[in-house]
Amino acid sequence: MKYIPKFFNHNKWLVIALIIAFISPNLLIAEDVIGSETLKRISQGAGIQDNTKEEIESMISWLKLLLAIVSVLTFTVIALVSKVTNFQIFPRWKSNPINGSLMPIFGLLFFGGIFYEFFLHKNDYLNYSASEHADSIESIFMVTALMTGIVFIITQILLFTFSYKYRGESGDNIPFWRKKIALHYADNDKLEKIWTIIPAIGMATLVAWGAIVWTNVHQDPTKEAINIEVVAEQFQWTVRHSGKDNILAGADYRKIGGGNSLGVNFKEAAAKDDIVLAEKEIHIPVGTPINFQIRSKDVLHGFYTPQLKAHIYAVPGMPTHFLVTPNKTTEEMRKQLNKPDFNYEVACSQLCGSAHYNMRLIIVVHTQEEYKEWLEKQKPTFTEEKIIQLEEELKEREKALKNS
Amino acid sequence: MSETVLNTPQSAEVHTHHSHGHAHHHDGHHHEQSFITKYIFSTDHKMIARQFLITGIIMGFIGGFLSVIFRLQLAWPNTPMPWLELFIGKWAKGGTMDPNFYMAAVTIHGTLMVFFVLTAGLSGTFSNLLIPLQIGARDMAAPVVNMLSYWFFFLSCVIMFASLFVETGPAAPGWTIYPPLSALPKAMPGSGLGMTLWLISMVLFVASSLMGSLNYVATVINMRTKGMTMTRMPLTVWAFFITAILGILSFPVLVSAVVLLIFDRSFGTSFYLSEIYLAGEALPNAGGSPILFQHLFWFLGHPEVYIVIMPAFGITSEVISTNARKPIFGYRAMIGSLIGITFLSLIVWGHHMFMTGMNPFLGTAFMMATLVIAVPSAVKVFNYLATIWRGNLQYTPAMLFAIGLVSLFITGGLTGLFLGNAALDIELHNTYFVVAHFHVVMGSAAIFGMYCGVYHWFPRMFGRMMNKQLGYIHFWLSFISVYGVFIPMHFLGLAGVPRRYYAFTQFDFTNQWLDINVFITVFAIIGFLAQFIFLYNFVTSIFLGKKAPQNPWKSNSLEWTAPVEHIHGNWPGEIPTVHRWPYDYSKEEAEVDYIPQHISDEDLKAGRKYWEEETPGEEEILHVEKSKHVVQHS
Repeated sequence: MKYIPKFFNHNKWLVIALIIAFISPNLLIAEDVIGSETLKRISQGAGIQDNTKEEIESMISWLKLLLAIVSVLTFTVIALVSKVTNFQIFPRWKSNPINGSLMPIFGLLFFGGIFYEFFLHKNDYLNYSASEHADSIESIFMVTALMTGIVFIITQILLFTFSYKYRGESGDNIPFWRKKIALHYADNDKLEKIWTIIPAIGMATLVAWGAIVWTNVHQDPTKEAINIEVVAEQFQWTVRHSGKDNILAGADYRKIGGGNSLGVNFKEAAAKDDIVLAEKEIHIPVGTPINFQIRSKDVLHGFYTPQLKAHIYAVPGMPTHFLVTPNKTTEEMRKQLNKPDFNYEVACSQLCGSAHYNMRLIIVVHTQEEYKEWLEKQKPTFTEEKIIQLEEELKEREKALKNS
Repeated sequence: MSETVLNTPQSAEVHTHHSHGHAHHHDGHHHEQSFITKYIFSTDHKMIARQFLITGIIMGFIGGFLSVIFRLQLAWPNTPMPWLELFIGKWAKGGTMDPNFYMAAVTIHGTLMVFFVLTAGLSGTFSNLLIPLQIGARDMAAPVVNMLSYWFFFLSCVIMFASLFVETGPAAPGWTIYPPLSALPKAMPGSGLGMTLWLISMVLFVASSLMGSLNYVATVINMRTKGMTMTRMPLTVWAFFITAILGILSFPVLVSAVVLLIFDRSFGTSFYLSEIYLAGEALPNAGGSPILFQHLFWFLGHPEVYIVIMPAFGITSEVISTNARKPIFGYRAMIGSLIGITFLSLIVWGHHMFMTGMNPFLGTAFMMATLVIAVPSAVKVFNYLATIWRGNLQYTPAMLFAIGLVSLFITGGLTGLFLGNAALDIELHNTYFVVAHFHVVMGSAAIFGMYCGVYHWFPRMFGRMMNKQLGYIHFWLSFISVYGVFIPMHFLGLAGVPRRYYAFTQFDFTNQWLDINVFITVFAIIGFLAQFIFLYNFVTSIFLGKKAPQNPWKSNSLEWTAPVEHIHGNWPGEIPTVHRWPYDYSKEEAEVDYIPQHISDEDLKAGRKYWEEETPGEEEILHVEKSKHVVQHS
C-alpha cells in the first residue's frame, strides 16, 4: 500500500488522464441515451422543426467522434509519459504481487458478472420452448450446462487461485532464478490417465444422449403430419399450405414467374387445393406434427424458429424438411411469458444478402378448432381461371425465349 | 573472457576468432548486403519472421477497426453517425451504414483475422523465428522458398486490401463465402469484383502457407543440431511442426473449393449451382450442390481453427514453463494431445453443417468425433494448471497473456461442447452463441498466444526490451474487454439472436437485447483502444527500448544462446550441442533454477557458470531512490 500515495503525488494529471480514458467510452453512451431523450423532450416541447432536429443529431454524432479522439489521445499521452518519466503503474519490484493479486479479483468480478447476467435475463432464454422435441433439447441443454458449469468453475477457480498463491516473491535483492522455490515436478502418468478418462466418460454420455435426441428429431413424417411448404428468397418467405388433401403439388424452378411465384406444377391434381398464402404467416394447430418442407429460390437461407426449435437450411436445388409438433398455442405462450404481443417468429439464419436481418415470418399456433375454422376460410390458389392464365403466361415466356 | 562461461555471446566471440570459417559471418554480415537483400527480399528467417509479424499487426488493426465500425452499427442502429462518411464514404451516406457494407465489414474482418493475422501473423512469425533458433539450425531448409512464402503472403495482403476500394465493395458473403451468394454477382454487390479479388488473394495465401509449412516440416525433420532428438524439442517446435503438417493436409482442399468457385463464377460451370431463380430469371445451371462447397470449405475450415490455436498452445507451454520456473507438466501428454487434436480435427468438419439438411446419421458420426476432440483439449488445460501449481510465477506480460489464454481456452472450449452436440445445435446454430464461442476459443485465445509470443521473444526479434508497464496495462484492458464483449454474447445466442444481422430491430426476440449490445460495443471500443498501447509500445521499443540482455527470462531453450545482434547463420561459432530437454527448471543439482539445453552433466558437475551475473534488483533500487528524491523536493 505504500506506493499508492506516491502514485497520486507524482502523477496527479496522469491519473486524471487515465480516468478520462476509462470514462470517455462510457460518456459516449450516456451522452447518446441522455442526448436522444432530451432531444425528444425538446422537440416535443418547443415544436422544433425536423431540420433543426437533424442538425442537433449530427452535432451529437460529431461530439461522439470528438470524444473518441480524446480517448485515443489520452491513451497515447499515458503511453508517452510512461516512457518519459519512467512512470510505473506496476512498480517492477511489485509486479508479481500486484498482477498475482489482480488475478483472483478479476476472477471474482468475472463470476459475479456471469451469475448476474444469468439471473437478470433468465426469462429471455430459459423456459422458452414450445414444441415436443424442444423439451428434450432443453433437458440435454441443462445437463450439458451443469456438467460444463462445474468444470468451468473448478478450473477457473484453480487457475486464478494458483496464479495468486504461487505468484513469485520480490522485494529483496536475490534474483528469482537463484531462489529455486518451484517444485520440479514433470510427470505423473496416473494423473494424466485420470484427466483423460473422466472427460472421455463425460463426452461419451453427452454423445450417446445427443445422438438419441438428434435421431428422434429427425424421424420420417407420419401420414397425419400436415405438409406446409415454406419457400425462401431474397428477402422474404412464402408459405404454401397443402390444403385438404394434405399433399403438396411438385414444383419446378423454370415455371417461376408471373402469377406463379413458387413455380408450382399447377396442372397436377394435388395442386387443386394448395393454398399459397398472401400474408407472411403460417397457421398451424397445436399437438399435430407439422412437416415443414423448405425450398429456396435463389441463395442459401436458414429456416429458424427459436421457440419451436425448428432449424434447417433452405438450399437451392435440394428441398429439406423439418418435423415439429408444437405443444403450446400462441395464446398460451403469451400468458406464460406475460407478453400480450408475443408471436412465434421465423428468422433467416444463413447470410443471404443485404436484407438478411429482415426476413420475418410469423407462426400462429392455433387450437385444433381455431385451425379448422381458419382452414375452412382459405380459398385454393390454383382455380381453373388461374390455371388458364398461368398457361398463357408460360407459352408467352417460351415464345420470348425462342425469339431471343 | 573466462573459459568457465559457456556459450554466452562473449564466449562465442572468442570462438569465432579461432574458427575462421565463421569469422566472416560475425564481423561483416551486414556490409555485403544491400538494403534490398537485407530488409526486403531477405532470406534470413529472422527477418522474414519480423516481416510476417509487422504485416500481421497491420492487418490486425484493419480488421479490428472494421469490427469497431460494425459494433457501432449494432449498438446504435438508428442513430446516424456522419463521421462514418469520413472513413467509408459512399457506404455511409448521411451517417447511416449501408447493409451491404455491414456484410462486407463482417466478411473482411473475419478473413483478415482468421487467415492474415492468426494464421500468417502468428504461425508465420513464430515458426520462422523459433524453428531454426530452437532446434539449432542456421536457417530454414529452403531459405528462398521461405522468402517466397512471405512475398506470396504480401501479395495476397495487397490484393485483399485493394479489394476494400472496389466500386462494388469488398467481398461480403461472410468469411465462409457460401455459394450461391458468393457465386452470383447479381445476388449482392459484394459478390462482384470484390469477391474475385478475395478468391485470388486466398489462392495466393494458400500457396504462401504451403511453402511455409513444407519448409517448417523439412527443417524440423532434417536440421536439428547434435543431441536435439525429437523428444528434446521445445513444445513450441512440436506445435509448429504438427501445425505445418495439418496445414499441408488441409489447405489444398480450400484451393480446390476456391478454384471450382472461380469456375462457377467465370466459366459457367455448375459445381455449386442448381435450380436458381434470381432477379427475374431462371439460371441454366443444374446438378450442382451448394453443400459440396461447404464440405470442401470446412475440410480446411475446421482444421484451420487448430492451425490457429496450436501454435498459440506451443508458445504458451514454453512461456508458462519458463515463467513458472517449472518443467511443463506431462511433456509427452502435451505432444500426444497435439497429435490427437490434429488427427481428430480432420474428421469433424461436418459439425459446421448439422443444419444443412445432410443425412442425420452423418450428423451423429460428426458429433461423436467432435466431442472426442474435447478430451485432448481437456488434457492440455489440466497440464497447464499442474504446471502453474507450486511454481514461482514471474509475471512478465508474456506470462499474463499465457494465463489469459488458458482462462479463455477453458471458457471457449466448454461452450464448444454445446455446439458440437447436434441436438443442441438445432437451437444454437448460427446464433451469437457461435460467435461468442469461436471468438473466445480461437480468436481471443490465439491473439493472446500471439501477444504472449511477441512480449516473450521481442528481445530475440529486435534485440531490445518492450516496456513491461505498458504490457501490464495492455493485458488487463484486453482481458477485461474480451470477456466484457463475449460473455454477454453467449446469452444473446441462448435467446436465439442470429449472427450477421445488420440490425436487431426487426424481430421481437432480438429487439429486447439492444441495450446489451451497447454494453458489448463499449467494451469492444475499450479493447480496440487498448491495442494502441501495444502498438505504441511495439514501435517505440524497436527503436528506443532498453538493450536486451542475453537471456532476459532465464530460459533454457537454445534461442537464448544466440547473440542478441542478428547475424546470418544464427550462431557465430559452432552450433551448440544439446544435452538435455528444455524444461530443466528448479532442479536440485544446479546452483540456479534453470539448466539450459546446451549444458552437459559434466559442465554441471564441474560447477561451470552459464549465467550472467546481474542484479535484477539494481534498477529498481535506483528507481526507488530516485522517487524518494523527488518526494523530498515536492
